[in-house]
Amino acid sequence: MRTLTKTWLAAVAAAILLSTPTTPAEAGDLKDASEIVNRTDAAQYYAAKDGRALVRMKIVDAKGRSQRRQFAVLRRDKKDGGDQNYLVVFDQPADVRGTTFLVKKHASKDDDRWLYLPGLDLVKRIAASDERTSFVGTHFFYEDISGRQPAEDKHQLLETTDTEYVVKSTPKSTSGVEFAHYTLRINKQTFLPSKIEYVNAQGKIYRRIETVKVDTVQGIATITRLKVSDLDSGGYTLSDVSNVEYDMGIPDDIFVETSLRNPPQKWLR
Amino acid sequence: MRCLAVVALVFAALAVASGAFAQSEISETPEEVAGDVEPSDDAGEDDWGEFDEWQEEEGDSSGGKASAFQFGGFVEGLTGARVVRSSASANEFTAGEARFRLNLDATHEIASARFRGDVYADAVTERVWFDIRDASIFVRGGNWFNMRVGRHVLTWGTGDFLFLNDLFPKDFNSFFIGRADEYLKAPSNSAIVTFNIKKVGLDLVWTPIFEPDRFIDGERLSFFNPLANGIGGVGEIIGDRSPLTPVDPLLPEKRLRNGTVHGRLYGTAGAYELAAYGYVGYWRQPTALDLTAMQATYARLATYGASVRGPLLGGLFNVEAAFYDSFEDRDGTDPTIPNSQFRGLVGYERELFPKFQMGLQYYLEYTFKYDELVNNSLWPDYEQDEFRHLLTLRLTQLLLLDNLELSLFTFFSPDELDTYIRPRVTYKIIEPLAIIVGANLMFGRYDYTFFGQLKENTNVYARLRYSF
Repeated sequence: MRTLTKTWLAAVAAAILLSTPTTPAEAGDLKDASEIVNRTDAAQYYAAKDGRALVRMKIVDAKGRSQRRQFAVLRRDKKDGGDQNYLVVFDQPADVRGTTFLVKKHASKDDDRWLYLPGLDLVKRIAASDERTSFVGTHFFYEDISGRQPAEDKHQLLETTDTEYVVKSTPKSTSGVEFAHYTLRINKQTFLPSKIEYVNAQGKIYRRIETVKVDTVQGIATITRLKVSDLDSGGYTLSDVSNVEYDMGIPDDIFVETSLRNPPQKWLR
Repeated sequence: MRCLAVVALVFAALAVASGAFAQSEISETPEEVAGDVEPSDDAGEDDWGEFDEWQEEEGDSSGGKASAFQFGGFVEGLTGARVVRSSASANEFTAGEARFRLNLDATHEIASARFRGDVYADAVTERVWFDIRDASIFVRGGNWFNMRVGRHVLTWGTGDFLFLNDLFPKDFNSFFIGRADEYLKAPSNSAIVTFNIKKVGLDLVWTPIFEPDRFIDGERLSFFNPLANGIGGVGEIIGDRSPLTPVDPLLPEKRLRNGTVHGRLYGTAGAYELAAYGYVGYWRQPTALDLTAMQATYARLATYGASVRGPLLGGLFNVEAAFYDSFEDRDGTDPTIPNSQFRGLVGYERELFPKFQMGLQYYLEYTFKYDELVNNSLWPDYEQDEFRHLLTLRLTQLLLLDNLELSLFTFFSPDELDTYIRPRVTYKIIEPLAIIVGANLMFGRYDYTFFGQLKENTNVYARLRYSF
């Protein structure tokens, strides 16, 4: 009886913690690295039930030449930590304006992805691709944008400072990843990462993602400025997120082929 | 003379572009190289400040206004020349054009208007062309119904450069001379109505006035004409030297009953996409013959088909089939009307290495009533085989943060012994400027096969595009 009550209480506690990922952890520091990373995943990729954002990126290569990307994103979660739908509408550069991207992200299998090319009026299905390659020509990887499954890595809590958890994550399988491990510095209050550094087999940090700005939108801590640096080439990409709105009530039925051809303006503006 | 002037202009543009490229290479200063060593904080206030300016520039594009207006487009030069000897065509150039494209978009929550217009000076045909690719209005009637009316480009089906159930107009001249891929599709004046009920969609398209393909008519590209020396004579490849070109086919009368109707019913079952298609109209190319006028014309056609597409072994597969019902000659005995056909396609694509994609397709055309066809044919020696097989291979590699694309697309028919190879390099020099260099290589043992007839058009081309 006692054990049953305890289990029940633990379950309720976990449910409360998971459903309010941005509430400060008042009960003291967390000790379980996996739980910390799960909550980071939830805070970063599953905030609210749905959301919209305008994303601007500036790509700077090693020679100082820069390019821009601008796109609007609509997201709706099917289940926290699980499947999600994304609709991405490109606005810049000029030669890809009107290109749209529909992603049905699956927690346990390859994502389904479609790309719409407006010039040809062609809805192209995209084959599953390496998640750790450039996202639309930026220094971000697909995985940085849609989130890496926490279960793909083993997590170890290295340090707990006054404000941050420091977690080392090592991939369970080295196939398809270019890093030996990476370290996350995670804010104890918001569970958002402040810095992620990727280390190669030689022990060298070759890639870094830094959180530059966090804003509170509708009570939800949201990363609005990020910088990703390719330390080998010297190139980097800055990302700026604006026009964020959560819990708009975006319906599930806009994540269909029709929306690729004709994006739903009601939710984008 | 004019032709030469345009070509000179394009080359001048190319020269300027390569100069700009060289300059940006030189601008690599020692300070910037030093920045590589300590890149952690090189994004200073200035770097981020740019976003604030950027926001102001476009502040009104998403600020809750009733409607938004956008414009864009590009300027492009294209030069292409034959690299093989051609006895049929006097003009050695397959392309020489300077093009201006304007894109306009007005967007409202429930309606939007779109314009895509090209004007280009074409040195090959010595004309200035206006080509409105899109002038259409879209209306959204809730989540379950919408429509687009006007002139626009339409596409559906699962093939890669192979169209079975897509009977919308295509422009094969553009495809074989190195214009951008989008020009393979030609616009039509059509209305499309879409109904969405849960996960099922229904598209109905009506094109009141039949819009044929922009087919190869001999003026720019040469092709095989089995009647070049009359009925029973020896066929030959004809081009701009022949008095029979440009081919001017007899079009269906502009009557209400001569319009074309296309339909598609589609939906998903898990990760698999299923679709059924139908079409009633005409063959897209003038493959019929009007014997009284001795003119090429379009026979009536209905098609029915289906497709499925989904994930398989880390990649994607697609299967598509279509039945071409040439219902004016179901017996297959009328030599002036093409016979009915079955067309099938199986495809598979996947990423072999990061940023390296491979796509394979097998395509089959089976002609019904083949014996009747050959027995009655006006050119039995030149008819395609009962079974025509085609294999395609696509390889695409993206490099330099997707700024450099190496692409190869190959068609090969093992029974017709002909091939078409499309290598292409696309390089985005700086953000608005891209250079594209490629070739269209056609080979064939026989002059009368699908790609073999195009062998005298083998060309290389260069394009330079500035987008805004």
